[in-house]
Amino acid sequence: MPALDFITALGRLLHDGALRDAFAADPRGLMQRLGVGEADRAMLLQLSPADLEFQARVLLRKRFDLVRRALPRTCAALGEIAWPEFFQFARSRPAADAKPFGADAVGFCEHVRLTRMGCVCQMERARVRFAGGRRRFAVHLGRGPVLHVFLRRRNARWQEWTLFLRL
Amino acid sequence: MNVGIGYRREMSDWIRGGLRGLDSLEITAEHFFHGRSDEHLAELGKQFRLYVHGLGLSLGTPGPLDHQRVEQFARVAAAADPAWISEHIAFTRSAEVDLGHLNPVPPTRESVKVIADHAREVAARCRKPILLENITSYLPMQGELSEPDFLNELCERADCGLLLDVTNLFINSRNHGFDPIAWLHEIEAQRIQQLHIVGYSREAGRYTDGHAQPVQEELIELATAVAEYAPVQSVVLERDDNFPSLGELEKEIAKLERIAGRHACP
Repeated sequence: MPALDFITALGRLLHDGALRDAFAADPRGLMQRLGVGEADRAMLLQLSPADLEFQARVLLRKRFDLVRRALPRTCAALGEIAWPEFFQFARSRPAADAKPFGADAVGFCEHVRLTRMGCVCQMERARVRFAGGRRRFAVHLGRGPVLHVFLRRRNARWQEWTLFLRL
Repeated sequence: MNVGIGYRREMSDWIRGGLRGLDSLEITAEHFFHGRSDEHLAELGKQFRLYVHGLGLSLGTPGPLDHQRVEQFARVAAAADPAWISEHIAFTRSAEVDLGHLNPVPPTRESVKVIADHAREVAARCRKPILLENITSYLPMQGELSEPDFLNELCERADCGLLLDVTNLFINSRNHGFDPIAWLHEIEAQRIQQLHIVGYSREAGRYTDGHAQPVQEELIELATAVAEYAPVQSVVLERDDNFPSLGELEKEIAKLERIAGRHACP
């Protein structure tokens, strides 16, 4: 089996919090288990766990910034715990994509729904679930009452209309 | 030296309306990958000198570049007709995972080869000169080469210029404890063609590049030192968040005019 290269090994460390914990506990053992090549191993062993965690934290913060754009009301409802909550959610979860309405937004929204139900904006939940899915058409009835209509076009871009209903 | 800002939708109305002292715009290529934007880019090109800057080509990843991303980048470059294109000395994804943001490469001759080959490939595909940019890294690395030697060898092998991010240099110098002026004087001056600058942030005792703060005075001093050392042609403000008011943005542009050695218009 070919030796694991520096970039691949560092990529694993940066996206997997559990792996970083293993590195902090036993860096040489982990490099051995991963099968990192000798020259690359020497450079990786120079890295401090604290610096690795900080670099990973910066990456998570960028992911959180995208999620905040997709879920502004949900994050506002979470207040000061929005970032710490996302940090714990995403620390060992690799980003599937780097999009505002991507897997992070869908996953975090569901995470908040399960752990802090009252903070989820249902309209935002409907939006990110539609954006992250493949359906061509969806409707969400919100408070007001308000009707949100989602339509996905042939080029995969989608649009949303909000209809304010008077009953 | 011309003065520019990174083109952001949040500031587009002010840009179209005319900002005092603004000569150029830096287009983030990925912001124009989707949708019908070619005409928009051509219109901007009539008003401003344009540069096209990439975030996600991941030049530091061994193996072939992502062909689709290169083609999208080339399409944006063709529409914008920039003076040059630029990307980062970094990787954003490995063979296994997309990390979504810039990470440091080891300072080895193998990294020089990988990035130089990729940079040449992108420049040839876009038919534009390419500049390569230094990044902020919270991972101090020691390898075959010091960072200045790494950058010099990279620019020579790729036959390209250096986009010196002054903020990233400042942040790394503070976090890793080195003198940025001594570092600067180890870089081949003629390679430095463009500067990026934005205010730094602080988090957990470290300096960080949140791209969300006004430019601090010590950054202006460092950028001025670079401008006196090297034949810099352009300085660009890279504000991505916490967008300023129009008046504050004009003050930021005035700071860049100071770096360029121009007096700001009253």
